[in-house]
Amino acid sequence: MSDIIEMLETLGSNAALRHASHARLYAALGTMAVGPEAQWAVLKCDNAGLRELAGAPQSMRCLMMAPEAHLETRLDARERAA
Amino acid sequence: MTAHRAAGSLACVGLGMTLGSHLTPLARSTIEQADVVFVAASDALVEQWVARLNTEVRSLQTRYRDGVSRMQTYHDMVATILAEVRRGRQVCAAFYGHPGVFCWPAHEALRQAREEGYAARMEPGISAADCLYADLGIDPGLRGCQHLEATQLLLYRRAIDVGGWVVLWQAGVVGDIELIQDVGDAACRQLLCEVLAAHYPPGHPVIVYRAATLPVGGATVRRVRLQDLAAVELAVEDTLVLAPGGELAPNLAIRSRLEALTRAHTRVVRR
Repeated sequence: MSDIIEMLETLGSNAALRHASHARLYAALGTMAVGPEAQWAVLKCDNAGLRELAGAPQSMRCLMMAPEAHLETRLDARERAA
Repeated sequence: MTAHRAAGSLACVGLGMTLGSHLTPLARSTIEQADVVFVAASDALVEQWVARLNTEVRSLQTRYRDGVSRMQTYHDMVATILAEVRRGRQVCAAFYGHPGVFCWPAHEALRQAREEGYAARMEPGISAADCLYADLGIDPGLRGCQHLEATQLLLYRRAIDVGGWVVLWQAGVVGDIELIQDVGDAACRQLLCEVLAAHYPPGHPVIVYRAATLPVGGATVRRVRLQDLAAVELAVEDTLVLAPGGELAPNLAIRSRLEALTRAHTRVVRR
């Protein structure tokens, strides 16, 4: 596999490909610099397979928000410090 | 033009939800031109993609640690970002989705940077809520749409507007008041269901929604009934969407006054 990221960027940004039929997608993937495993993973919507081929971790922690109660605790601490 | 005391700067930008599809030209340019880029992505492939846009990209993923409260993680993220701003560098912090939506570190980093006299700005991105409206065909203008953090709904008495759409975020980890879990707890989901059952009938439809992060396939949409929700496995990324539970109740008193005002206005126009 030479360039999974470039392939994904193309698939994500090209209106003709983002929601293309399998046949259209299959034809387009053949022109990209990716191996058959990556092409097959795209056709199967196999995100895990794509990550594996790109050597990327399968899971990411992504929560960025706490319930208000925790923010209040933070504010209380700041007020106490002031 | 605003005068800033210090040389460093901070721009918090959104990556959008889907790789290749949602990054705005301005956000991309901000990433490309920064001295250093901190990235918090929801998929490792997205992180690899951002790493191609600038030679100095650093992941904020390393700030998460097992058994440590996420609140501490968020503070660590802010401290890490601000340290580079204080060194006089042009810093970009790129967060998945919209940096101002369900993203405490971005707001806090910008607040601190401004307080210390640095130039600081936020560039919006396409959020999960934006994708949700498109994928589920919801127009919040029709009946209104209430967005709530799921655990907050348990901790506080909130007025739920069943006349409109209700969207519950971070439902996958509802009830995690220690902020250390990565997977949901069925007993906590049951509590959430009990709270919702005070407002909706057992058979009320609930949509479990997850936006696409890779441009391979589409969003994940599951439809369940409220009475079955506690038994449904939810991932951290899953969002719950409750459809309007009834007809809107007309406000007859205000309608009457509004009609009187309209008649009076019409009389004035005719003169």
